[in-house]
Amino acid sequence: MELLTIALPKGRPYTEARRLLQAIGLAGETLTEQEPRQLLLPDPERGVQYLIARDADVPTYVEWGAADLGVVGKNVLMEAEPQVYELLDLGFSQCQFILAAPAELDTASLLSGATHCRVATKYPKMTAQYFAERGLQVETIFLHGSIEVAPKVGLADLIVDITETGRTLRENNLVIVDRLWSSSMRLVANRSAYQLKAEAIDRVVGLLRSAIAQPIG
Amino acid sequence: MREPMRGAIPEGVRDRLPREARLQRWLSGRLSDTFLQWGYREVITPTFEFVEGVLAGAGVLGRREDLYQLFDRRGATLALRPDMTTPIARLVGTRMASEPLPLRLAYVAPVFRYPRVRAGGAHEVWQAGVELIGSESALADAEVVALACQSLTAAGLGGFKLGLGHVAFLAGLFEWAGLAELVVRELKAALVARDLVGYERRLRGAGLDAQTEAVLLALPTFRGDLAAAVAQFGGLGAPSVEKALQDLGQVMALLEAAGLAGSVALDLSLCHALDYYTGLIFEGHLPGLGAPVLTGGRYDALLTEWGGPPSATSGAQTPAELNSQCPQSLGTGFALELDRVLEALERQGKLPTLAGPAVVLACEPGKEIQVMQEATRLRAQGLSVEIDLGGRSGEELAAYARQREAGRVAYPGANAPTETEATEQGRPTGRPTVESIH
Repeated sequence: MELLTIALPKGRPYTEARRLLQAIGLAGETLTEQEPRQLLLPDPERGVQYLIARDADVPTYVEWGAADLGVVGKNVLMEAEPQVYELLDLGFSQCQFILAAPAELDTASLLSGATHCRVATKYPKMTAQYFAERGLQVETIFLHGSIEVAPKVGLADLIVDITETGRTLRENNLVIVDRLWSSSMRLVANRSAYQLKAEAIDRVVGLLRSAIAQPIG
Repeated sequence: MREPMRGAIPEGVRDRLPREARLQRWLSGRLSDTFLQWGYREVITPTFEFVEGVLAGAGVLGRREDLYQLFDRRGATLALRPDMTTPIARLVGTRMASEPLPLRLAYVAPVFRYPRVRAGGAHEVWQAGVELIGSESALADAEVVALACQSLTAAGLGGFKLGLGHVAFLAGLFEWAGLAELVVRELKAALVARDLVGYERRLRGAGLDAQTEAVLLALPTFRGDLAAAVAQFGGLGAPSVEKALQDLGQVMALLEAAGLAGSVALDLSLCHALDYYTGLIFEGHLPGLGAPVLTGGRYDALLTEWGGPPSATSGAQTPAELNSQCPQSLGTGFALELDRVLEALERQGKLPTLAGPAVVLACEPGKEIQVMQEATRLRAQGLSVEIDLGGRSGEELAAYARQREAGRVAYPGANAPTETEATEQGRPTGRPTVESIH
């Protein structure tokens, strides 16, 4: 039988995804406690194989059909807008998109449009959308990471980023100016696989659905 | 701006080198033959038209910025056609208006548009498809779905599945639930994006009673045959839902009669991004391809723009009223993308083998007359013949023939052995020839 390919993100969400998949019996020791170094992990006994990828790449694998299912944050989906099914809110890795500024900054005057404003972010599309909806014109600066340092070194006035606990923000003397959207991990499916491998996918969705207390936000 | 690289071509377009060009011609031929066998006559329309005409198809794409636009020398705005349905609607409503209905028309042509979603996507897309105009019967809908299946089969593909939905089913269900227009729009947007999480959240926030909510919640994850659909969504007291289920039932029964029961399935939450569809809609999926290989459906009233009664009287009429006066406005069809079909064939290992020339003729100095005579004789026999113009002979010519995947080489007018097999590798001996294209 053809294996169902499931893409999992590296990093923090991996641990939670592993716990959930093992709880429903869809993964065994193939998914090691330490993030595996091998990137493709077949588990023929359970009819699946896992693909370990960077979180931002998970939607790409799924969109192109290289993976049938994927586990990925809503934050990544919102930015990438892949053509995939978003099947379930898995509930973990909850975080928020926030607009943050240095504590001493007069953000009201900055956002009044009187002066030029630069915003550093890993999410340029969402950032542009947020400001456009408010009729504000800002310059968006794309960074791959360590967004919180941008105001300190004069690269940007504000940042748009995601935060779970707000700790990193506090450590960098940043305060939240606005909360934009909330995010958590989602189960996504390739559009064609959802039709062609209906039975296998419905089984996984059913198991996951009963395992999670689906929070309704 | 940086100078473009020498030989660079614009974003979204690409060359087809001989192998690919030949495969594409082969596939178009296969599809055209299939269309013709089903009574669909091919039409060719201009690559560009007045932008007003391109946009007239009641929001075919709706967005001007998706079009490639240019000016003619009098300053009129032209647009490269973004689809083939609108030009065909124009033909049907004007130059073919006096032809008896139904009209079965087909095309194989490139369309041009800026893709909305993916960077790196094609701007020039070769499509093949059909339009069946002048009938609102289930038989017409079933024929178009069956032809879509047959097109994939004729191309040599297996394992595909067509998902069938109905515009009136979704609309009827939302109307029955008494949802506000804005909520309906948001729910539809969620279904178009296949965002089932967003759909559920929006629905739970809509203040419906538990029973109604449960019916709508079951929609996007519904799987099953028509009996299951009727059991779940029938008898709600929603007339357009009943009508849609009845339509789907008729079409499914006809497809079963065509032996296609295993290739089609209900996809009740299917919702095309384009607003012009009015009835049965469908989408075709192939294993290993991320996106649908074909889309189609019924678009009654799209064609009234050219064929309908004068617009002064048509203003307040419903599509049904228009249709009774203007059968040309009843249309259904599908389009598939040639590149996706070729990609799927490649993945399934089902691309036909391309044969090189049957014979390469050596041309020794002074033997030009004999070479020309021999080439003419062999070509008259129907063989593909290539004359070597490089003065090669012996091993050098054999190597050239191998590279061209030729069957054999011959030395017209020579005293020596006149013909030799190109070599063992001259023809791909390991692989059976699936089909030769000449």
